[in-house]
Amino acid sequence: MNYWLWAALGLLAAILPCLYVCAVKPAEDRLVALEFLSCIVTLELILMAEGFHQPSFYDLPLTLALLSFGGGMVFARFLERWL
Amino acid sequence: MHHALAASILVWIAVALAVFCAIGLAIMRTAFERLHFSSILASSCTALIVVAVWLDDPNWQARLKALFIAVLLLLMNGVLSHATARAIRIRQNKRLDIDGGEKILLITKEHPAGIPHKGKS
Repeated sequence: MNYWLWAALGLLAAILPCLYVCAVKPAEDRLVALEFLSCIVTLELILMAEGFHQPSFYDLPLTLALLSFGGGMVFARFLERWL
Repeated sequence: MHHALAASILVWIAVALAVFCAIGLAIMRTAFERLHFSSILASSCTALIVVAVWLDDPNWQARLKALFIAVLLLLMNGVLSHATARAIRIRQNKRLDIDGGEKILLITKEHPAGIPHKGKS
């Protein structure tokens, strides 16, 4: 196990506060925590791709970064108008 | 060897910064305050990790993909933060523009200490 994978493991600690905010706080705060969480998971996947020495694994964080942007925009729009 | 050491230090700084931002996200009071922490994550942490990848990995495919992801995160986080802040403001105040009763100070050259913003009439 190399230091990239140890760092990926350490980065999991950053998910817990986001989960707390998503579980307890109002909808606005949940949206912010969700966007933060998607960024954390993207970084997590970069660290894992580097840790496993597989450049093809980089496609996963790339896809997640693109999709989380679209998802965040849709959630923001829903929060603004309907929720 | 030196590159691997530098890369590991950068990665651990990025992880520590990410955990710090996550704690900040949890302890802040309003959604606007929380929004600032995702910007630190998308800019500083991502940049540190990408520099570490460039130092440690000789594979150009990995390097370029990591750089592309970092640029993507940086650009999209700005747009997303703006859209989220706008949505939160409209949700909380039922309108985007400033209301006269909000007591927001307007700072100009003539009034550096600020005068009350009256909003749109």
